[in-house]
Amino acid sequence: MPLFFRDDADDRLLARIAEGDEAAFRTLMDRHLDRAFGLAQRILGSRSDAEDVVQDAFLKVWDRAESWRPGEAKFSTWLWRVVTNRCLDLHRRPRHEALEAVPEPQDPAEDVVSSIAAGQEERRLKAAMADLPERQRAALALIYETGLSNAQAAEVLGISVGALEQLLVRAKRSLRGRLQEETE
Amino acid sequence: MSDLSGFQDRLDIHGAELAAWPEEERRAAEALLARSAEARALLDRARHLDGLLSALPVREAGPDLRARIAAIPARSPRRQAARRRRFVFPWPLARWQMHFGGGAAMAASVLLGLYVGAAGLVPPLQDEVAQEATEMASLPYEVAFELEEIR
Repeated sequence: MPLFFRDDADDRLLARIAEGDEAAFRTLMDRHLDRAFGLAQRILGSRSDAEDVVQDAFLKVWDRAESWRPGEAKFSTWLWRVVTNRCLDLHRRPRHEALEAVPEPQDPAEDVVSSIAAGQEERRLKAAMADLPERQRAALALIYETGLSNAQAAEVLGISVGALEQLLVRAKRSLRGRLQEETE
Repeated sequence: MSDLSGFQDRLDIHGAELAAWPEEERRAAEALLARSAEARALLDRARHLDGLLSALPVREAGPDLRARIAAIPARSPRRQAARRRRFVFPWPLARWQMHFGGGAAMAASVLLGLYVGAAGLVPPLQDEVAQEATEMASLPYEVAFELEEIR
Protein backbone atom coordinates (compact mmCIF):
# COMPACT_ATOMS: atom_id res chain seq x y z
CA MET A 1 0.00 0.00 0.00
CA PRO A 2 1.62 3.29 -1.02
CA LEU A 3 2.34 5.76 1.73
CA PHE A 4 1.09 8.73 -0.21
CA PHE A 5 -2.30 10.15 -0.82
CA ARG A 6 -3.24 10.77 -4.40
CA ASP A 7 -3.34 14.20 -5.95
CA ASP A 8 -6.73 14.57 -7.60
CA ALA A 9 -5.53 17.32 -9.92
CA ASP A 10 -2.72 15.14 -11.23
CA ASP A 11 -5.06 12.18 -11.54
CA ARG A 12 -7.49 14.23 -13.60
CA LEU A 13 -4.68 15.47 -15.83
CA LEU A 14 -3.43 11.93 -16.34
CA ALA A 15 -6.90 10.79 -17.31
CA ARG A 16 -6.99 13.52 -19.94
CA ILE A 17 -3.48 12.66 -21.11
CA ALA A 18 -4.58 9.07 -21.54
CA GLU A 19 -7.16 10.41 -24.00
CA GLY A 20 -4.41 12.18 -25.90
CA ASP A 21 -4.93 15.67 -24.45
CA GLU A 22 -1.69 17.52 -25.18
CA ALA A 23 -2.69 20.60 -23.17
CA ALA A 24 -3.13 18.41 -20.10
CA PHE A 25 0.34 17.00 -20.70
CA ARG A 26 1.82 20.51 -20.79
CA THR A 27 -0.03 21.44 -17.61
CA LEU A 28 1.31 18.39 -15.84
CA MET A 29 4.79 19.28 -17.08
CA ASP A 30 4.45 22.82 -15.72
CA ARG A 31 3.43 21.46 -12.33
CA HIS A 32 6.38 19.12 -11.89
CA LEU A 33 9.19 19.90 -14.31
CA ASP A 34 11.28 22.25 -12.19
CA ARG A 35 11.32 19.99 -9.16
CA ALA A 36 12.01 16.88 -11.24
CA PHE A 37 14.86 18.72 -12.94
CA GLY A 38 16.20 19.94 -9.60
CA LEU A 39 16.13 16.41 -8.23
CA ALA A 40 17.99 15.01 -11.23
CA GLN A 41 20.49 17.84 -11.16
CA ARG A 42 21.26 17.29 -7.49
CA ILE A 43 21.79 13.57 -8.00
CA LEU A 44 23.78 13.79 -11.22
CA GLY A 45 25.50 17.13 -10.86
CA SER A 46 25.23 17.56 -14.60
CA ARG A 47 22.70 19.80 -16.27
CA SER A 48 22.75 17.98 -19.59
CA ASP A 49 22.38 14.55 -18.03
CA ALA A 50 19.58 15.86 -15.83
CA GLU A 51 17.80 17.18 -18.92
CA ASP A 52 18.04 13.80 -20.61
CA VAL A 53 16.70 12.00 -17.56
CA VAL A 54 13.76 14.35 -17.09
CA GLN A 55 12.85 14.32 -20.76
CA ASP A 56 12.90 10.54 -20.69
CA ALA A 57 10.69 10.53 -17.59
CA PHE A 58 8.07 12.74 -19.22
CA LEU A 59 8.17 10.62 -22.36
CA LYS A 60 7.28 7.73 -20.11
CA VAL A 61 4.41 9.75 -18.64
CA TRP A 62 3.01 10.30 -22.12
CA ASP A 63 3.49 6.69 -23.15
CA ARG A 64 2.09 5.15 -19.99
CA ALA A 65 -0.71 7.51 -19.00
CA GLU A 66 -3.27 4.88 -20.01
CA SER A 67 -1.86 2.55 -17.38
CA TRP A 68 -2.09 5.05 -14.53
CA ARG A 69 -4.29 3.75 -11.73
CA PRO A 70 -5.90 6.68 -9.90
CA GLY A 71 -5.89 6.41 -6.15
CA GLU A 72 -3.09 3.89 -5.86
CA ALA A 73 -0.19 6.30 -5.71
CA LYS A 74 0.67 9.94 -5.83
CA PHE A 75 1.89 10.97 -9.26
CA SER A 76 4.71 13.18 -8.01
CA THR A 77 6.11 10.35 -5.93
CA TRP A 78 5.97 8.03 -8.93
CA LEU A 79 7.77 10.71 -10.96
CA TRP A 80 10.50 11.13 -8.32
CA ARG A 81 10.96 7.35 -8.40
CA VAL A 82 11.32 7.27 -12.17
CA VAL A 83 13.73 10.20 -12.18
CA THR A 84 15.78 8.81 -9.30
CA ASN A 85 16.02 5.35 -10.86
CA ARG A 86 17.04 6.82 -14.21
CA CYS A 87 19.73 8.88 -12.49
CA LEU A 88 21.07 5.87 -10.61
CA ASP A 89 21.00 3.83 -13.81
CA LEU A 90 23.36 6.21 -15.52
CA HIS A 91 26.21 4.99 -13.30
CA ARG A 92 28.25 8.00 -14.07
CA ARG A 93 30.43 10.03 -11.85
CA PRO A 94 29.26 13.62 -11.58
CA ARG A 95 31.00 16.30 -13.56
CA HIS A 96 32.70 18.72 -11.27
CA GLU A 97 32.83 21.42 -13.89
CA ALA A 98 29.05 21.25 -14.25
CA LEU A 99 28.64 21.61 -10.50
CA GLU A 100 30.96 24.56 -10.47
CA ALA A 101 28.92 26.19 -13.21
CA VAL A 102 25.84 26.43 -11.02
CA PRO A 103 25.34 30.11 -10.23
CA GLU A 104 25.98 31.36 -6.73
CA PRO A 105 23.02 32.59 -4.69
CA GLN A 106 22.82 36.33 -4.28
CA ASP A 107 22.12 37.76 -0.86
CA PRO A 108 22.30 41.55 -0.88
CA ALA A 109 22.06 41.68 2.91
CA GLU A 110 25.45 40.07 3.36
CA ASP A 111 28.61 42.08 3.17
CA VAL A 112 31.20 41.24 0.58
CA VAL A 113 33.51 39.30 2.88
CA SER A 114 30.83 37.01 4.30
CA SER A 115 29.39 36.54 0.85
CA ILE A 116 32.72 35.31 -0.46
CA ALA A 117 33.10 32.99 2.53
CA ALA A 118 29.61 31.59 2.01
CA GLY A 119 30.33 31.05 -1.66
CA GLN A 120 33.51 29.16 -0.85
CA GLU A 121 31.71 26.95 1.64
CA GLU A 122 29.00 26.23 -0.86
CA ARG A 123 31.54 25.24 -3.48
CA ARG A 124 33.23 22.94 -0.98
CA LEU A 125 29.89 21.36 -0.18
CA LYS A 126 29.13 20.80 -3.86
CA ALA A 127 32.50 19.18 -4.40
CA ALA A 128 31.99 16.98 -1.34
CA MET A 129 28.53 15.98 -2.54
CA ALA A 130 29.91 15.12 -5.94
CA ASP A 131 32.18 12.54 -4.32
CA LEU A 132 29.38 10.82 -2.39
CA PRO A 133 28.09 7.46 -3.62
CA GLU A 134 25.10 8.08 -5.84
CA ARG A 135 22.55 6.50 -3.53
CA GLN A 136 23.67 8.72 -0.67
CA ARG A 137 23.38 11.74 -2.94
CA ALA A 138 19.95 10.56 -4.07
CA ALA A 139 18.80 10.25 -0.46
CA LEU A 140 19.92 13.79 0.31
CA ALA A 141 18.34 15.10 -2.89
CA LEU A 142 14.99 13.50 -2.11
CA ILE A 143 14.97 14.99 1.39
CA TYR A 144 16.32 18.46 0.64
CA GLU A 145 15.09 19.04 -2.93
CA THR A 146 11.65 17.45 -2.97
CA GLY A 147 10.97 17.77 0.76
CA LEU A 148 9.97 14.15 1.22
CA SER A 149 9.94 12.57 4.66
CA ASN A 150 12.38 9.77 5.40
CA ALA A 151 9.63 7.19 4.91
CA GLN A 152 8.60 8.68 1.58
CA ALA A 153 12.20 8.90 0.36
CA ALA A 154 12.74 5.28 1.37
CA GLU A 155 9.72 4.22 -0.66
CA VAL A 156 10.94 6.15 -3.70
CA LEU A 157 14.33 4.44 -3.46
CA GLY A 158 12.72 1.08 -2.82
CA ILE A 159 14.55 0.53 0.47
CA SER A 160 13.60 0.29 4.13
CA VAL A 161 13.41 3.39 6.31
CA GLY A 162 16.35 2.03 8.29
CA ALA A 163 18.44 1.71 5.14
CA LEU A 164 17.49 5.26 4.13
CA GLU A 165 18.55 6.50 7.55
CA GLN A 166 21.91 4.77 7.16
CA LEU A 167 22.40 6.52 3.83
CA LEU A 168 21.67 9.87 5.47
CA VAL A 169 24.03 9.21 8.39
CA ARG A 170 26.87 8.15 6.10
CA ALA A 171 26.29 10.99 3.67
CA LYS A 172 26.26 13.71 6.32
CA ARG A 173 29.23 12.19 8.11
CA SER A 174 31.20 12.33 4.87
CA LEU A 175 30.13 15.89 4.17
CA ARG A 176 31.07 17.05 7.66
CA GLY A 177 34.43 15.35 7.35
CA ARG A 178 35.17 16.96 4.00
CA LEU A 179 34.08 20.41 5.09
CA GLN A 180 36.13 20.09 8.27
CA GLU A 181 39.24 18.93 6.37
CA GLU A 182 39.11 21.82 3.98
CA THR A 183 38.72 24.46 6.66
CA GLU A 184 41.78 23.19 8.57
CA MET B 1 19.47 9.48 23.80
CA SER B 2 22.29 7.49 25.25
CA ASP B 3 25.30 9.51 24.16
CA LEU B 4 26.62 12.17 21.86
CA SER B 5 27.27 9.70 19.06
CA GLY B 6 23.67 8.56 19.15
CA PHE B 7 22.53 12.18 19.22
CA GLN B 8 24.65 12.94 16.15
CA ASP B 9 23.06 10.03 14.30
CA ARG B 10 19.57 11.24 15.18
CA LEU B 11 20.50 14.73 13.95
CA ASP B 12 21.64 13.23 10.66
CA ILE B 13 18.47 11.17 10.35
CA HIS B 14 15.82 13.66 11.43
CA GLY B 15 17.58 16.95 10.75
CA ALA B 16 18.32 19.79 13.14
CA GLU B 17 14.72 20.93 13.54
CA LEU B 18 13.85 19.18 16.78
CA ALA B 19 10.15 19.95 16.44
CA ALA B 20 10.06 17.50 13.53
CA TRP B 21 11.50 14.63 15.57
CA PRO B 22 9.43 11.79 17.00
CA GLU B 23 8.13 12.89 20.40
CA GLU B 24 10.10 10.47 22.54
CA GLU B 25 13.38 11.17 20.78
CA ARG B 26 12.78 14.90 20.95
CA ARG B 27 12.28 14.80 24.72
CA ALA B 28 15.48 12.79 25.17
CA ALA B 29 17.36 15.20 22.92
CA GLU B 30 16.13 18.22 24.85
CA ALA B 31 17.27 16.64 28.10
CA LEU B 32 20.71 15.99 26.62
CA LEU B 33 20.95 19.51 25.24
CA ALA B 34 20.08 20.98 28.63
CA ARG B 35 23.10 19.36 30.26
CA SER B 36 25.69 19.09 27.47
CA ALA B 37 27.52 21.93 25.77
CA GLU B 38 28.95 19.41 23.31
CA ALA B 39 25.45 18.38 22.32
CA ARG B 40 24.53 22.01 21.76
CA ALA B 41 27.59 22.39 19.54
CA LEU B 42 26.53 19.33 17.51
CA LEU B 43 23.08 20.85 17.08
CA ASP B 44 24.60 24.12 15.84
CA ARG B 45 26.74 22.26 13.31
CA ALA B 46 23.77 20.21 12.15
CA ARG B 47 21.71 23.38 11.67
CA HIS B 48 24.53 24.85 9.62
CA LEU B 49 24.81 21.76 7.37
CA ASP B 50 21.03 21.56 6.95
CA GLY B 51 21.01 25.21 5.96
CA LEU B 52 23.72 24.66 3.37
CA LEU B 53 21.98 21.62 1.92
CA SER B 54 18.62 23.36 1.73
CA ALA B 55 20.11 26.46 0.13
CA LEU B 56 22.14 24.74 -2.57
CA PRO B 57 20.95 26.40 -5.74
CA VAL B 58 19.81 24.40 -8.72
CA ARG B 59 18.91 25.90 -12.03
CA GLU B 60 15.34 25.78 -13.17
CA ALA B 61 14.53 23.83 -16.29
CA GLY B 62 15.40 25.95 -19.29
CA PRO B 63 13.13 26.90 -22.18
CA ASP B 64 14.83 24.38 -24.50
CA LEU B 65 14.01 21.49 -22.20
CA ARG B 66 10.44 22.74 -21.75
CA ALA B 67 10.05 22.93 -25.51
CA ARG B 68 11.44 19.43 -26.03
CA ILE B 69 9.10 17.94 -23.46
CA ALA B 70 6.11 19.90 -24.72
CA ALA B 71 6.81 18.47 -28.18
CA ILE B 72 6.71 14.86 -26.96
CA PRO B 73 3.02 14.28 -27.87
CA ALA B 74 3.59 15.49 -31.41
CA ARG B 75 6.78 13.51 -31.88
CA SER B 76 5.83 10.34 -30.02
CA PRO B 77 2.56 8.76 -31.01
CA ARG B 78 1.37 6.80 -28.04
CA ARG B 79 2.75 3.29 -28.05
CA GLN B 80 0.24 0.55 -28.52
CA ALA B 81 2.22 -2.19 -26.85
CA ALA B 82 1.00 -1.48 -23.35
CA ARG B 83 -2.60 -1.49 -24.52
CA ARG B 84 -2.13 -4.81 -26.29
CA ARG B 85 -0.57 -6.36 -23.22
CA ARG B 86 -3.26 -5.16 -20.87
CA PHE B 87 -5.42 -8.03 -19.79
CA VAL B 88 -8.24 -7.45 -17.33
CA PHE B 89 -8.45 -10.25 -14.82
CA PRO B 90 -11.78 -10.98 -13.17
CA TRP B 91 -11.85 -9.45 -9.67
CA PRO B 92 -10.42 -11.86 -7.30
CA LEU B 93 -7.86 -13.05 -9.85
CA ALA B 94 -6.82 -9.44 -10.46
CA ARG B 95 -5.95 -8.96 -6.77
CA TRP B 96 -4.15 -12.28 -6.76
CA GLN B 97 -2.28 -11.38 -9.91
CA MET B 98 -1.18 -8.01 -8.50
CA HIS B 99 0.19 -9.58 -5.35
CA PHE B 100 1.89 -12.58 -6.82
CA GLY B 101 2.45 -11.43 -10.40
CA GLY B 102 4.40 -13.49 -12.87
CA GLY B 103 5.77 -15.99 -10.39
CA ALA B 104 2.35 -17.28 -9.48
CA ALA B 105 1.30 -17.38 -13.11
CA MET B 106 4.44 -19.29 -13.96
CA ALA B 107 3.74 -21.77 -11.18
CA ALA B 108 0.15 -22.12 -12.35
CA SER B 109 1.35 -22.73 -15.90
CA VAL B 110 3.77 -25.39 -14.69
CA LEU B 111 1.09 -27.11 -12.61
CA LEU B 112 -1.31 -27.00 -15.51
CA GLY B 113 1.33 -28.48 -17.78
CA LEU B 114 2.08 -31.27 -15.31
CA TYR B 115 -1.59 -32.03 -14.97
CA VAL B 116 -2.13 -32.08 -18.70
CA GLY B 117 0.93 -34.24 -19.19
CA ALA B 118 0.11 -36.66 -16.38
CA ALA B 119 -3.50 -37.03 -17.43
CA GLY B 120 -2.50 -37.56 -21.03
CA LEU B 121 -5.21 -35.14 -22.07
CA VAL B 122 -3.51 -33.71 -25.14
CA PRO B 123 -0.79 -36.10 -26.26
CA PRO B 124 -0.32 -35.13 -29.90
CA LEU B 125 0.09 -31.36 -29.40
CA GLN B 126 3.02 -31.16 -27.05
CA ASP B 127 4.92 -28.55 -29.06
CA GLU B 128 1.92 -26.28 -29.31
CA VAL B 129 1.15 -26.65 -25.61
CA ALA B 130 4.73 -25.83 -24.72
CA GLN B 131 4.70 -22.77 -26.96
CA GLU B 132 1.44 -21.51 -25.50
CA ALA B 133 2.58 -22.13 -21.94
CA THR B 134 5.71 -20.10 -22.61
CA GLU B 135 3.72 -17.20 -24.01
CA MET B 136 1.22 -17.30 -21.16
CA ALA B 137 4.02 -17.41 -18.62
CA SER B 138 5.78 -14.41 -20.14
CA LEU B 139 2.68 -12.25 -20.35
CA PRO B 140 2.15 -11.71 -16.63
CA TYR B 141 5.82 -10.83 -16.23
CA GLU B 142 5.40 -7.97 -18.62
CA VAL B 143 2.15 -6.86 -17.04
CA ALA B 144 3.65 -7.14 -13.56
CA PHE B 145 6.62 -5.08 -14.67
CA GLU B 146 4.37 -2.28 -15.80
CA LEU B 147 2.28 -2.44 -12.65
CA GLU B 148 5.41 -2.24 -10.54
CA GLU B 149 6.52 0.88 -12.34
CA ILE B 150 3.14 2.53 -12.24
CA ARG B 151 2.30 1.80 -8.60
